[in-house]
Amino acid sequence: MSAIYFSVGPQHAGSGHFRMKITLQGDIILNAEPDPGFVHRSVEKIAETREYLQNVPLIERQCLSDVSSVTLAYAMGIEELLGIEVPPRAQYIRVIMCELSRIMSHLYWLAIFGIFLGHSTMFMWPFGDRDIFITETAEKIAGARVSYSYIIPGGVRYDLPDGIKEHTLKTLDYFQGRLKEYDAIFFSNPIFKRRTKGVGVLSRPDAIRMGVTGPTLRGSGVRGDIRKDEPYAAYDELDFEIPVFSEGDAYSRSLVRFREMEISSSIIRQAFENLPEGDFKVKTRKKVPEGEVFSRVEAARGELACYIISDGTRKPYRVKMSTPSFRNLPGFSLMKGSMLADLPTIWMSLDYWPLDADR
Amino acid sequence: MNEAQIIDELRDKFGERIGTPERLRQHRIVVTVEKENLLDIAKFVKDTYDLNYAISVSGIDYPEQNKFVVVYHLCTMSEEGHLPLVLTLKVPVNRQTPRTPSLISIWKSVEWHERETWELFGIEFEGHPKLERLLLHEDWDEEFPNQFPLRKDFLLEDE
Repeated sequence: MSAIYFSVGPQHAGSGHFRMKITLQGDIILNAEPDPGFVHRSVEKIAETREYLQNVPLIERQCLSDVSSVTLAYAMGIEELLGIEVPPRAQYIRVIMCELSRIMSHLYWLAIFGIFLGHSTMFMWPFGDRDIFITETAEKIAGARVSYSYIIPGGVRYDLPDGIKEHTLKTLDYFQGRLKEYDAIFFSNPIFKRRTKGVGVLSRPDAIRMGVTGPTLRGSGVRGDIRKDEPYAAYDELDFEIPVFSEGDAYSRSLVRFREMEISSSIIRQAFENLPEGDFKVKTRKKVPEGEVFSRVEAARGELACYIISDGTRKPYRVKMSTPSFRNLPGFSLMKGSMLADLPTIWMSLDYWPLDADR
Repeated sequence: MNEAQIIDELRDKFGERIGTPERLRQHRIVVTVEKENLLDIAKFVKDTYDLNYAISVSGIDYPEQNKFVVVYHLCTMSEEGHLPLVLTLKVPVNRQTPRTPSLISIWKSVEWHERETWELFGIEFEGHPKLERLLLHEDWDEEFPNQFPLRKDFLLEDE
């Protein structure tokens, strides 16, 4: 039987504009090559032409499902160059926003994963619940639904509104109840287990060698999480665990994200409980001293690093964003040798986000 | 091993060949090496400090100094996670003949990053198996022959 060659994408195949070049023989994938770049906007080039603060809305657009972590990595870099300390209250608010962002990003992933596996309820529920987070928490705190440019160098843009604590805790009460239902209908579902267990197995040494990051790495038995390994914001004052599963298959990667939603909810509760009083931002200068900085955070998809070179002017000389989706690209090679029917499972188990990879 | 010890050891071992290793802050070291010594030193730091995990590869353009700098960010990934140390390896490259050895033989994961740097800066990575279009449009060469968007002489329309 001769092999056939075809593309999946670049039309929006459910997870963004991105193409997989697939070579198929019978039912087996012989070769799978990712072809990113369809949504490349050259964020790094444009960033060199704008002032530091103007870059916040630009840079957050590289990953709209997880804006808080992206802007936080950038803000932390500038703060380090300026040599300023961010007030504790702002650090706690940043944790709250980053964890809300993580939950919303994982819900987005879960919905698309559900529909990729033909589970339409799992498409509707997370999108519905994500909207509750958007309207009841993100919009109330930051004033916009998705791209809120809330985390800025020096702190956050506004203080928390009155009554937001009760409101968020109520949302979390509802959500944590929902997670049990997600578990019953999806994660404990025998069909889901059969479609994901043993599929797309990535061993621990390969995961490190390929340089994958985030839940993809933690699904392969490596406890790599910047929140613990190089704590930033207020993470070192909060008590949380890092879920790790060692099988390395699509099921492990899914469970990592599922557990993280629960853990993020607990982090948000603790952050509200311990929220200090005081300022929510400090004044920053527009001119940033000469130097270079490499700051990193744990975004929803993994380690996100920001490398800034400053030449002492109001505009960055160079901004490099090393994004988790780009680093997870080698993970698509897991499709090689698997069956065509497992393609959507492996694809979605990597939680690849084309905007994040292409920048 | 702390940053000062690493810097001392690198100086002892490589002397002239390694420039001046610099400590930016806690857990951040910058080492500048010439491309002739790159493979030796990269292999040494990987084996000695167990820097098995390449985070990113980037380029910087310095037209006034007639050079590019290729920057590798490296760290250690154990079963228990990242170690906080990040070692930055900088390689100056002549702007007229932008070539440097690929580090794929040492860190497999730099493959996509080097390909991106090749495309956006026009820096050739010798020994890289696949320097092909990655992020830019496939018709880029027809419209912008020999132009590389992240170089400083590539201006945006509103600049």
